Amino acid sequence: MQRELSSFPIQPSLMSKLTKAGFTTVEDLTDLKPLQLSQELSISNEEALDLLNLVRGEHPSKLKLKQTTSFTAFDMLQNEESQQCIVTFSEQLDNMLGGGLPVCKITEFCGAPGAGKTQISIQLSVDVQIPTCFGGLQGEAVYIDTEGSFVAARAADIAKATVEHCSNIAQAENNEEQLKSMEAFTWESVLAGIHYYRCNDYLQLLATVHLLPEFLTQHPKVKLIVVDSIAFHFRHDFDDFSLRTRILNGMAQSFIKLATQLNLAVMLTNQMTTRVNADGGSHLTPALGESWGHASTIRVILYWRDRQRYARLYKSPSKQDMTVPFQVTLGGIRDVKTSEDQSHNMQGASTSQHKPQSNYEQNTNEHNTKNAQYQTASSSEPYHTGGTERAYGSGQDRKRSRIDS
Amino acid sequence: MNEMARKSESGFQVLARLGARPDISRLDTILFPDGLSQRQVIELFGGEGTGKTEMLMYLIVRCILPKTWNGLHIGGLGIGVVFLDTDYHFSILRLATILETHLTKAVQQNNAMKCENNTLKNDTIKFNTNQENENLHDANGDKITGITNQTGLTEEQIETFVKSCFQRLHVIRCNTSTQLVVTVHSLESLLGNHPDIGVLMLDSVSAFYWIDRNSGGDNVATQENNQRHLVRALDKLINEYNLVLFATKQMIFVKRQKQDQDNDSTPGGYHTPKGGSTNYDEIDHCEFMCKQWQTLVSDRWIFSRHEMKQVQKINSRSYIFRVLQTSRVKPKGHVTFGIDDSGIVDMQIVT
Amino acid sequence: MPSLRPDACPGLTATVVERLKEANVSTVIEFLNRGLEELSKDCGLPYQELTAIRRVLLAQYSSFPMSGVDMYDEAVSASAILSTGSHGLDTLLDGGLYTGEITEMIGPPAAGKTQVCIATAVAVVMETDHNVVYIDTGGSLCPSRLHQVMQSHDITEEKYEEMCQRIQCFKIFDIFQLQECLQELHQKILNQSAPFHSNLKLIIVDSVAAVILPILGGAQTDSHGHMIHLSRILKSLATDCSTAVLITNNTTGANNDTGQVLPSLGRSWHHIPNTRIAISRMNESSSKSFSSESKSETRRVSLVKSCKQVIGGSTMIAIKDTGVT
Repeated sequence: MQRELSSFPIQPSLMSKLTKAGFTTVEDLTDLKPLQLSQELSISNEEALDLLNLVRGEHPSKLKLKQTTSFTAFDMLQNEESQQCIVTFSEQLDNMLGGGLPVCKITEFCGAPGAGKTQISIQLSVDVQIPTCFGGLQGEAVYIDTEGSFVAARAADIAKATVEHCSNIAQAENNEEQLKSMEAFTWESVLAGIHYYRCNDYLQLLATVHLLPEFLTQHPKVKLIVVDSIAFHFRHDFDDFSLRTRILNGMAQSFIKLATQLNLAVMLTNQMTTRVNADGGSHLTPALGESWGHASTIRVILYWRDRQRYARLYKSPSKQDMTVPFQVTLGGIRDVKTSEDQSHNMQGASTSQHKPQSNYEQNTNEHNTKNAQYQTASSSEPYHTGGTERAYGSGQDRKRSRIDS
Repeated sequence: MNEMARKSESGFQVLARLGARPDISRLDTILFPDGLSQRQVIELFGGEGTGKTEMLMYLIVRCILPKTWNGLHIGGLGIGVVFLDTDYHFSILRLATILETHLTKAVQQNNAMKCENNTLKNDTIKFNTNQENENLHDANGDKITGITNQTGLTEEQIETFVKSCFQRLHVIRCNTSTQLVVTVHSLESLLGNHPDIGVLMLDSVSAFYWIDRNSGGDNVATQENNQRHLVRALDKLINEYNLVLFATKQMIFVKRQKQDQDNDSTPGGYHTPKGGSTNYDEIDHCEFMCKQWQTLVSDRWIFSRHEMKQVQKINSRSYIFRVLQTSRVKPKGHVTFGIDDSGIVDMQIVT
Repeated sequence: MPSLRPDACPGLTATVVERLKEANVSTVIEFLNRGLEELSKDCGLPYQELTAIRRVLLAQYSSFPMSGVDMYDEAVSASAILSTGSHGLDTLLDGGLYTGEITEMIGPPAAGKTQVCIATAVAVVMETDHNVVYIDTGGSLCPSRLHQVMQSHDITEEKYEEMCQRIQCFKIFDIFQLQECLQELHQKILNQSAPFHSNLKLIIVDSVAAVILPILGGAQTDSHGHMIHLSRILKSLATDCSTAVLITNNTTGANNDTGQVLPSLGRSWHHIPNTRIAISRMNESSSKSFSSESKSETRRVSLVKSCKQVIGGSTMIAIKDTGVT
């Protein structure tokens, strides 16, 4: 069976010329030279060349992405086992997601304002940069901000806390490799590793997504793409629903393509919207409608209940539904701890995977008295600085004594 | 066109044309109360799942079933059918099931008659009653076993019967628009060799609509080119060989105002009549084929599906299908039917 | 319309093509539309020669009729019904997935469509010697989940590896690439080039909506054509190659007045599948409020379209760690 020419993405004006000239299948074009074709159709030589390249499958793609190759389920499993996740710094959240934010997938965090979407976004943009010797990905992040909610100072807070934590581990274990890597892993370097885009309307967003493949070839270290939020420009003043569906789904496909081919994680945030039920009641549901719901591979709903933040895994190809509590501290996303947890977690820092643990509330360093207080479980505030002036040490002068107690 | 064609036809073709094509006037008394005449073109129009293909199956069975079999009155017409399958929804196994059901019913009726006339000697039919029956084929083995036990027909007998019916059926699958047009041209030899063929079916005429539009690019005339060629070829065939054409047409458009009602995601939005409503006249037909096709069509049946109210449910069927029959836009009548495992059942004229 | 090209078939020499062109015949269909006698006069070519050309052209471009008997014999011998691994689902589908048919599964996000796909793929390689092609367009195929479901069948590690080799996966993210891939598959199955392909009985595309939606909508006119092209190749795979095709699609219309849940992609697509099942979460109301913590494994699956069974039936399935039951 020959593939018909009309099944290729050929512009209509050219297509009608082809049909009129009697070219219907790929076979009709196989033996033709560009010059012959351009004469038969009275089109330019370049057009003819492009057309022939297209149907012969020799598209000179900008990004040299892998051609469609098949692999067996066994290859895939081995491949997956070698893939790493981006930790969230909340063990429970990580467990829920199967080790953290997975690469090669789109993960969507939905939540009402203040549910912690931006906090998680920033946390992950920082965490993706943790050096490999700590079990991190040592990558970079692309941060696409549509709402203008990214605050550099906040990113700095989280970056400092993360750097400090890693440095604690390095010193505690006295691991030379780790100590050495800490020289390059500073909060400044972390902030430099977040490539920030601010998109003021959906066209800018679309253009940014469109240019991402090129950007990513220049910045191969990028392992995480964050869009905070995907919904903002599409929720209002967008009358053409079918166009919206098309654009959104198109973006989703570009993201999943990038994620799979470049082994990176994509994290999107989404707003919540109220939907009226048939019985007159209403409930909150992720924005952008049902068709968007299919776009993300993993969907997590963030919400508040009883002065406590929760994250609910709503959609996942590999995990059952699950709900876990978490909190946002000055240092970023953390587990909510019960009193037993605290003692348990004190040893947590030296797990075999070198997973950074959230031990910040244990820090009693005198050098850092001016540091903001890290929150404990009792707090229901997102985070607070305690009104103190922020002054952070550079990391080398830390003396961590209690971390490995 | 016709005149020219006649000028060039061979003696054999003349014979085929003038040689009596089978009489299809009594195809179905409910669907065609006034009879069906040769060269009629009936378009079956409807949305997805409204029973168009099922209706074709029903009509095929009416055609290919013999009048009698082994002395048993079956009541079919015994005429040949050419089925052009472009939608690939045709299932021969399904057709076999329907044929078997018909055979079973005929045998049961016959047996009932035999019981009534117990004194009458009836030795025309002898069926083995004790033969062990195994599954006829995987697809509906259980059903067949059950039936055969009732009627005493053997597996081989059923198989022979089904195959004898299938001899009158010719199926052609077409995958591209061009292929369809050329295939219709090529049918001449098939029709010449099989004078028993009286019915041509096309499921569906709209299968390549979007592809043709793509191939035509930005030129509307080019978009409709293949459609026009198809109509021309069909027209020639129907007139030369005195055939009846049944063609399904998918509802791929709805009237504009309805399209605006549902604003979610997909263009060409979806509208189904609300369950149980009786105002099925409102189901609009929306034309999208070329003018030539519209002139070719002599009758149009508009199909719709309605959910049955709980009390009306018969044999767990939950839908009732309606056909609005029109002839050149003039409504003629309504027919309702249900669909179950054995095909179309309970067909009725609605007055 | 294919044009008449010199040497496309015997007898069709460059001069003949030239002569025909002078008589305004340059495509195959134009040739067929003309009466031969008249054409013979117009272009001055012998009648016999034209008859021969016509015969060759018909043979080359038409499809051949198949007698009902042959078709029946072939259907009985080549048909297979593939179990989905879930008894309830098999019953609903009258035995399972039929070769030669496209079965579409629709459902809202997180209804369990991918889970059913994975379970079916595993069931097919476990219980039969058929092979599976799994095309993932949304990045939702999770090998570790596949592993988990397989392990529930209690097999050894070597056996597991062998099973996995029989599921071939493709990750494809746009419709053109998908068409190319399916076309290639079609070719390979018909050529019987590799043992894998001659034993291939199930093709899963999860999901078709993910690749079609990005081109559908807006003012684009050719998008429907591309969609139908995709459907044609899927149909060819089902019928010509006698494979079962399982596809997933989104739902739409949950928020319109009628409350009916319909497959997305519009009317033209609705006609494509032979069988359609709808899958949804059971506790509809509580799952909608996302803060509820009830986790449910149970899903309702109902038969929406079928050419074999009475539509409207439904069954319950449970999605567990071990797969779908």
